[in-house]
Amino acid sequence: MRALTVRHFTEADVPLRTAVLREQRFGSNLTDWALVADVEEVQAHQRRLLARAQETVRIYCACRGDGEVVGFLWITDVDWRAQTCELSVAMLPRYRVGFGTLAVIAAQHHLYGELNIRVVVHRVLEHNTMLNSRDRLATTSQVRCDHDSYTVGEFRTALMWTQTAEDFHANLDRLPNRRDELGARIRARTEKVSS
Amino acid sequence: MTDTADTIAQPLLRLTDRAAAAALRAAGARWFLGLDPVTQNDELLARTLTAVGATVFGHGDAVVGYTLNPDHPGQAVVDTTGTDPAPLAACLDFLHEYLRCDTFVALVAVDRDPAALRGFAVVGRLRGHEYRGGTYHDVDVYFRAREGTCAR
Repeated sequence: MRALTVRHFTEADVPLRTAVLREQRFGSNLTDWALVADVEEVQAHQRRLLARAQETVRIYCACRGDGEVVGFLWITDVDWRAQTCELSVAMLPRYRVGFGTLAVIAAQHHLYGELNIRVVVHRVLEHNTMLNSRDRLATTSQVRCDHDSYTVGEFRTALMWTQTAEDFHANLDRLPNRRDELGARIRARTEKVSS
Repeated sequence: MTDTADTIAQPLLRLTDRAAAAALRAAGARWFLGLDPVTQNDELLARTLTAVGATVFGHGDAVVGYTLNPDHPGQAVVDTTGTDPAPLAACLDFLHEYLRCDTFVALVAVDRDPAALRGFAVVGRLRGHEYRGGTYHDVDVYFRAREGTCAR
């Protein structure tokens, strides 16, 4: 059973996502347009996406088992014929430790398993290590784009890479091994401290 | 006994496109007339129903609906949620009585129970027609003509 599930974003979710879009770290890490625009426009924009833009943009809520929303994910630049899209994620501040990866995995299950997407494009601003460590970004990224965007007073460098459905499933297969290795390391450290 | 609004049978309740979208989501019905609540939000479901000219009814707990074949006005593509034949039978009666339809087509994935399609026969199979659960699924094409129908 998955720890998190995704469901479609609805009008009732607009105020919560608006608050996330207007949060300072989100503004710095993805885009700060919601900090510049007025709240009404930010909300109206999301309602327009919901009603009219499903061909190119789709927004999802990541939910815990009890239905509580812990974050939002959205796909943009959806190319149905090429079966590609870009995936973005923003977690609620109190769910930023540990839940982000689970939310992305839940979304990827949906994208590859139900929406029939074959390739997901990831784009992360270089200073944003909220979801990926600096080392991981360095080893994973395939394209580096200086001056990609300007957020909260600075030009930002973007790192980009693609993930195929095959990559995703291969990584999932490796997950139990990584969990076992981590568990063994923690146990070894605990035994060393207690002896 | 006196008839009242509650006692007069209303087997088919016409749904607006928005109400139909909500009903399909509540029923968890995937690929009803080609729609999928898992991959489409309610706004897109409703807009697609409008775009394809679908008509959807509630019938008890089931949802049933049709689109007319633009190349053959006497033929309808029909669908239903669940396995009870009664809602679909009511829909076929409606189509015959009010829209003069006498041939009907339905698409059902091969791993789904076709019990609701009473009187239909499989006339073909579409290979890999549906995608869900990470794989493509074959879909059977069902056909039924009303008894005594003149070929048109």
